[in-house]
Amino acid sequence: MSSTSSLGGAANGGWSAVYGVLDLLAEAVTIRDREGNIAYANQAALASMGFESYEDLKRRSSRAIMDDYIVQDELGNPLALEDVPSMRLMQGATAEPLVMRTVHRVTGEVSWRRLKATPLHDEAGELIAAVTVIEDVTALKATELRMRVLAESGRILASSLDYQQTLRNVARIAVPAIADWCAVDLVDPQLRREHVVAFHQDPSKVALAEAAREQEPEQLDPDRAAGQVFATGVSQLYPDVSDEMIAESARDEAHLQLLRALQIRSVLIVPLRVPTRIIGVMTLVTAESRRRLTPEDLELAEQLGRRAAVATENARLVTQLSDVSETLQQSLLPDELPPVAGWELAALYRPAGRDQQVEVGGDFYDVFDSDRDWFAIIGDVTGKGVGAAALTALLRHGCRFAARSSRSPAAILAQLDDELRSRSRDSLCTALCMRLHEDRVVLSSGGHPPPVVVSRDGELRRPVRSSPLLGAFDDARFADQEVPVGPGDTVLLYTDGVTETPGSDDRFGLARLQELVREHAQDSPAQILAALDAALEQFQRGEHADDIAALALRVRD
Amino acid sequence: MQSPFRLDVRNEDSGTVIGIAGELDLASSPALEQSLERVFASGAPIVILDLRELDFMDSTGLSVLIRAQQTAEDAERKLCLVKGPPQVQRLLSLTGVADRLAVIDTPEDALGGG
Repeated sequence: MSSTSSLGGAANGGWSAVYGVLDLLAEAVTIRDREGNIAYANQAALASMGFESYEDLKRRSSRAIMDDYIVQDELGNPLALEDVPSMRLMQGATAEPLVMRTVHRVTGEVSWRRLKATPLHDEAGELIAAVTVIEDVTALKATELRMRVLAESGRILASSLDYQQTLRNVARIAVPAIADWCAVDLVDPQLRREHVVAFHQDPSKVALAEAAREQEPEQLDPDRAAGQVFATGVSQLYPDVSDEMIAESARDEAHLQLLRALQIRSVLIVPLRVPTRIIGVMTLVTAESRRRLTPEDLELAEQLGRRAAVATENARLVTQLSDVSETLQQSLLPDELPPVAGWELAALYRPAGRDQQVEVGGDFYDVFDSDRDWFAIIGDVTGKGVGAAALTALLRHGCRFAARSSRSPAAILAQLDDELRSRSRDSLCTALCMRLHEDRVVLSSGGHPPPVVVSRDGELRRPVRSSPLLGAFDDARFADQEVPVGPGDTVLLYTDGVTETPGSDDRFGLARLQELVREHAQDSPAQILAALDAALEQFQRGEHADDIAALALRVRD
Repeated sequence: MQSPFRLDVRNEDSGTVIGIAGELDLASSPALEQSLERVFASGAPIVILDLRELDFMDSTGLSVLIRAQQTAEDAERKLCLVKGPPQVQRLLSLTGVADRLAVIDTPEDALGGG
């Protein structure tokens, strides 16, 4: 039998019979002699090491054979020949079973093996050999990896609404589980790429990849691999990347040097696909691990890519929506309050809580002049979202328009009421419009909370007459009300979000608001509103579900 | 502690009473709106919204009441409100709703002594 050999040169018929049986086993079995050489390897063991016969094996030392592979334990730590269980036994040490990953340096083939060694003693109790049973656990390990990658991706992808962070998390799942490198590019329909992440466990190598990437064009070349994956949605696998392929993809000599320095072994590119389109590509590269990427790796990467794409798209949509709401909200409020002769002004605006971040609130205020008169308006449109925002814009600008034809706040509100009722039943709004003079204000309230007026020495007044809210009733009539003011007096306009701010037991309420205003009667409008903001912040329990707007106006001394 | 939002719909011979408890706001208003739709569709000649157990109402809740009043007018039904606590009543009168809706003290006032 060609695969058998003598054990320590002392073979007899008994050994041959044993070898014959061992050769029939599916498990790989080797026997290591006292000198540390492999004295026997059965057929399965020879096949797993890529030898035709034992004679072929015998021509090379164990160390040389091991050097054909990159060998690591389960944690990725490098293993030497001395770490192999049979070697440990022969050196008199104990040997636990060892699971190791081997990557063949030439073929890039990845195998996982479990080595279990048993000592063999002669009749005198002398250790003469170690028998190793080698189990191929590659398929088991591949399944384990797959489950882990998918479980981790599900968890990590669901955890962030920041798409850049999401993609960085994806890269950290892919490396080193599937590859040594992971790069993600988001691509817009004009093929412009937004390079989001390039990840490697070694930060110095990340710098190398970034340098290589800087040489690449801003736009994806549709004729090249990544461009094709983006255009067709079909993944690409390049198990063996040759130097010719590297040279072909290099833009110039400098780029070529950088690419060569990366030591690329295998590349795969998968699309980042959402149901309606492809939003980018993910590239996985093996380099120093010498692993050859396989169709199974490709499939796993595709699954990871799909999850990453959906998570990214969701995160981007949320970001865009909040951007839209923020922009819209900003357009509903003046950038800054204009200077008004004889008056000092400040405004406070707090949009509804974080969990409503994609909503647009319906609170608004404005201060504007029309034909030498100054007006302030504050209002609260029922509802949320873009519809409410559109209505708010209509009111803010409608108010300026109405003020051109009438200087009476009641008449201005009546015009807004007309406008709202002509639209739909859902267009309801409370608003308070006020004309400013140095010695008085003229105001009209359409169902809006009346202002709090405080004199310099803390005396409170509250004009309470109110007309109906706007947009609701055909028979609504609006009336003007004149409130005299003197130097140092403050008029505070606010929306119900202020008084309705929920605390642990009750709402903030008018009494607390009045007390706060009274305490700060000597302060500037900005100081009063800062105090109000702080008080609400402290009072509030949970998210504030409603917008808060306030406008403080003080007659200059 | 505020009690949780609850709707309690009760059919009487001459009309339907919807008891509203808890907070009527942006979150709970849609539920009342749906309930009102069903009650109007059922053909009840008198619909009574009982606000006595209401802890709080905001402008969204108010707008549901106003729309309900408009629906009732269009459908030639009668809508009544049973007076709620001070916060609710202040809001109703500030916005002019109290002047335009039939506000009563108990459901029986509208149901003819029940």
